[in-house]
Amino acid sequence: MTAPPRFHLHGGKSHNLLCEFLGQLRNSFAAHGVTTVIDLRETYQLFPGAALLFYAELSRLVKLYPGKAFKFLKSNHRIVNEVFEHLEIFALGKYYSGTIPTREDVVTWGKASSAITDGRPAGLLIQAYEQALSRDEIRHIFRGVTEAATNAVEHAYSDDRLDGLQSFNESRWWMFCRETEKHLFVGVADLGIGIPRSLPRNFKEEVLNATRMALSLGSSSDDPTMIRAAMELARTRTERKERGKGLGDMKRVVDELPGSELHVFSNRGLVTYSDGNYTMREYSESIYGTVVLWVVPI
Amino acid sequence: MKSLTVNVGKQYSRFPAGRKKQSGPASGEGFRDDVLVPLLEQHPDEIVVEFDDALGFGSSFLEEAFGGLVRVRGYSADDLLRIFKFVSEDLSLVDEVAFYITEAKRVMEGQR
Repeated sequence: MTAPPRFHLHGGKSHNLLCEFLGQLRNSFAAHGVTTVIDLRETYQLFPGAALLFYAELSRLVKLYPGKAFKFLKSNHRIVNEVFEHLEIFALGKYYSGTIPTREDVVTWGKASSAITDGRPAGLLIQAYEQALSRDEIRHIFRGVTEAATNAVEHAYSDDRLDGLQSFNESRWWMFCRETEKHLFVGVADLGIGIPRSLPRNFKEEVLNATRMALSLGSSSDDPTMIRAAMELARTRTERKERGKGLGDMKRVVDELPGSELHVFSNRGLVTYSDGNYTMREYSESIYGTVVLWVVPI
Repeated sequence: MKSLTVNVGKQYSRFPAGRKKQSGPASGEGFRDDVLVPLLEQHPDEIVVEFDDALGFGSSFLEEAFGGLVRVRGYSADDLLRIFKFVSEDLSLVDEVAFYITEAKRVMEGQR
């Protein structure tokens, strides 16, 4: 199967292309007796959120189908091969492209993953960027990341993913960081049921309705509306005090670090939060999970 | 005056995270039950909690650790707020921890 030219989640066309590609990947892994070929030759650009989603999906498939034969056709663009080598994505398929990662904009990528709420791998990864970050920034980012991981472990895998594959018996989260000249990108992904499906399990219908009305979102229950409601419920009073504060921690990173942005992709929805403002978008294809991405100026 | 001190980052974990023990190795529930409760059982006049050697704290950890003392373990919020002295260069963190204790008291009162 041919990978998209750009791994990019924000744009409508690139988002849907990536989702369709991931669907083909899942189907191919599930098919018996077929060697999966991941053709990256046309891929030339990798954005952190989309690359993280692909990495998570492939890691999950390798765990679900441990004997599955698959291989890569490396990209015609060296930077893509450098990133895949550096992040050990090629290594998932026991493939070596012959490319040694040397580029400054490649070796600053980092990754972490766990199937429990373990702050150590996330914390060590964030600490690796301490020359670019203040103590305060590290504290706020760690807070947001560990809450995203907590949500993944405690809520995201409460039911079937509905992607047609066998159940995944791990509550796993994956994390990427990437430093550029001006920004640090920090992403956390899970491949669970998504916020739009998990929210009604944690809050009563009347609470959700009241929140939607308060936000002038009407009675819609589309995915962006549900994500937006989840962000609001995170800071409002609920009937279950010990729940639902995690998205508040994710927003707080943005509130505390001027110029930063939060992008929450979940199933078909995207909500972006920056400078106190929200934007919402709905896509026709689902990512079947959640990707939380912060962009922090450095 | 009997005063005890606990440094979260040095004596529990530099990377505290999560709510429940079953979810991870340095959870709020673990800190509450394995560190705070044994200190409280010594009946001190003061417990100093130093936060700054840990990398940071999510609300799930803090709420379960401190709000959970009231909500789960049945301690008096007023007693806790009198006994605990929270130390951090981040004053909003100090306020937040006190808020979780007060909020847990309000929830418990609402359930009676």
